[in-house]
Amino acid sequence: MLKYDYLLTRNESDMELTDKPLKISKYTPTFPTELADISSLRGRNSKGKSTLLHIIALGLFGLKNESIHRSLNEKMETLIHSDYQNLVFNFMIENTQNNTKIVSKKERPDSEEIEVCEIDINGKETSLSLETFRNKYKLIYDIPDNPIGRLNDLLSELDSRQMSIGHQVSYLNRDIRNVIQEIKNSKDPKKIKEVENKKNKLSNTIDEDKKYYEKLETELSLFKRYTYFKYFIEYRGKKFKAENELKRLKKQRKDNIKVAEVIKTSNEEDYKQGLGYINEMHGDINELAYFIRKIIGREEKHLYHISNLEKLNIRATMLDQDRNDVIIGALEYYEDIFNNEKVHLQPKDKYLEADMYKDLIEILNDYINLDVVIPGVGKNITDFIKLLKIEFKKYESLGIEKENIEKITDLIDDIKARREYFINNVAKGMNEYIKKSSNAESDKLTEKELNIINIHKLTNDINFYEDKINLYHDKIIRINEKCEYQPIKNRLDKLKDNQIIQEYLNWEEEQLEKKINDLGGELKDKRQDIERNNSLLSIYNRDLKQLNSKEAHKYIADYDFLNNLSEITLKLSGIILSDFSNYLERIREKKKNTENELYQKYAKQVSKYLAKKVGTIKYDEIDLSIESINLVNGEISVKDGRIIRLNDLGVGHSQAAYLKGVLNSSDNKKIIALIDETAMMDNETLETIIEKLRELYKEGKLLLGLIVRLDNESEKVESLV
Amino acid sequence: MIKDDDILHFYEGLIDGKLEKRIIELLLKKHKFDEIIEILINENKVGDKNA
Repeated sequence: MLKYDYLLTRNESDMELTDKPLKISKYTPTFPTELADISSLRGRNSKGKSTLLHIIALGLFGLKNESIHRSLNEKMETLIHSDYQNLVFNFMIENTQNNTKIVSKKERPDSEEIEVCEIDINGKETSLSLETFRNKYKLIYDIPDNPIGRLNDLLSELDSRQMSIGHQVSYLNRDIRNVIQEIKNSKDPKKIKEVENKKNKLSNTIDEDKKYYEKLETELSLFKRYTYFKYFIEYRGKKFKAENELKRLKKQRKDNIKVAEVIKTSNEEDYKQGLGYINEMHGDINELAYFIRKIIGREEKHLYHISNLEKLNIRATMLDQDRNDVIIGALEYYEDIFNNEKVHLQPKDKYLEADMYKDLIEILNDYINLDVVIPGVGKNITDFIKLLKIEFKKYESLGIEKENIEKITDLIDDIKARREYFINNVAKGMNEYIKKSSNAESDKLTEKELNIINIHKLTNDINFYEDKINLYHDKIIRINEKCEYQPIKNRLDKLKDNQIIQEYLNWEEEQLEKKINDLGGELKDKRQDIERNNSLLSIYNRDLKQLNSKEAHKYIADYDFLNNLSEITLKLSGIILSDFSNYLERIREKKKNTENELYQKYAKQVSKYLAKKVGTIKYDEIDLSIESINLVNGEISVKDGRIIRLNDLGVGHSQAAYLKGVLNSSDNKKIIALIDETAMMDNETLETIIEKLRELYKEGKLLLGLIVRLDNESEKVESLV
Repeated sequence: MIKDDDILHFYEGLIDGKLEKRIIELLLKKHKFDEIIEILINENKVGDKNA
């Protein structure tokens, strides 16, 4: 039952003619103020039929109801928001079937405030908010207006359900991800195992590194002792020899050399330069002899030419064209041997491999600060360089051997070139000078000059040896060894028998110093590795402690399935909220998309959905069951196989179909249905609507149903319950 | 009247995945999210055993 009352006060004066007296009209209900749950109101225009429907809709949040047609909305707005009229009202919808009472009132004409409340069975009033009203009730307020076009509006409910399901899937996805996160934060035996494996692996690495560190330490100590002892002894010996030679030269100078008047000739300066040149060649030949002896060792057959070279009076030989070949012969002999040695010493591949490692190390050193893990190796650049260095070390002795041989062949080339230059540019001038001056004087000058040069050289050498002896003395002290000649010499002899050192007996001072530096660098790197890995080990221990202290999650074993579920729900919510929503919009716009198979399927499902929603249609005097309503093609398929075009349906039929669709709500909300201007429907069509209302009422789903029609003769109210 | 079953039927014609259909079904049956997760996990376990 509906009980209502209202007072509408309207200023009907011409607002622009201010000198005229005001004409205020008051409107109150024309129809009875108590109406049955389903009622039909008929009457002439301006008798308040529509005003009553406007007031009920206004009182039930109609202005905030998006499904109400715009034209009706504007009329409700005018009732409440205009400056020429004001309204007060109250009404109560009382439904005994549902024990429901809804009261709505607007008591002050100058205020827009409307109070809405529910009254329960005990008479207790509870205020109704918009949200609560929407959750419990459904207000349908409609008029016929392009009903064919408005069949599209039937899609609104589907749209709303679809969005709701899409959002729920999305929220479910959020909850699944939360569970996954909880599992991640819980006691995870798999993760614990992983960390334990990492820890064990790291512990092994640390142990191996420590062993390797100790090995390096021993090796470094060995090389330091060998190198420092060797060169301390060697420079002492050289110094001793040089000092003796110096003594001899100084004595010779005093006893034998008599200062003579030198015959100044134009060639004297050239002659002196030539002597200096011969002296340098002498030094080179001695150095060559040293290296050749070192490499050839005890192979007597190859030492013959060396002995010859060492015995040779280089100055005399260089100036004697005929004897010059002795030098050349010896040089070419050794050139052949060592070039041949270079080819056969090791397979070429080995040198290529050594070069490859060397080049790789140099290239990677340029990128050492990059945080990159090298694919296939799983190591960062620093660790990878360390691996390469270990490999490169295997080629170390090979490199030194090659280096020494190359030094010999380079020296041979250099001596040959110098000799060639000497013959072509210097020897002739020197010989002419010798002929011009007496031999005796020339010899005196030569010996004097040579003596001065040699004394000067020897003094420099002795100073150099002294510096070296001091240097190695300090180094020996720094490695906590006593620096006494004989004990050091004895220990050096023992070190030479060491298996490791034996491979390095041919190495030069610079090479050994470099080896010591490299070992020191490697040792430092290894120490840093061990320290870094020890820190990492502490982190693993802390992580393990933390992981073991957590509670296990009940879904720990379902972690993979939950991840799968997360992916599925994410994808599903995307399809529903984006793709399906887009398809629905295309259907509204009557767009055909034959290429998209999913859209075709969706459109087909929507056609079936609409058919189910509308149910039947009265056509040619018979009720026809609808199988599908295709809004894109504008066709209705009915069960007897006929296709009815929407454009062929009368307005009344279409309106009925639309209203039935609206009333066929899928939710359990109680309906308040207000239907205006049904004059376009014939009686039979209208009857299908009334039947639908009765059906809903019997099911307890309709609280109030009001149908309004124009009647040009009189006002009538009829209960349809 | 369009019921939840009709909505389910509507989506059954559109979505291929068994799990996806089951998720919609459970949502339409107004299960709480934690219940849905539990049901799906249990069903997955049973499925694994039967496989």
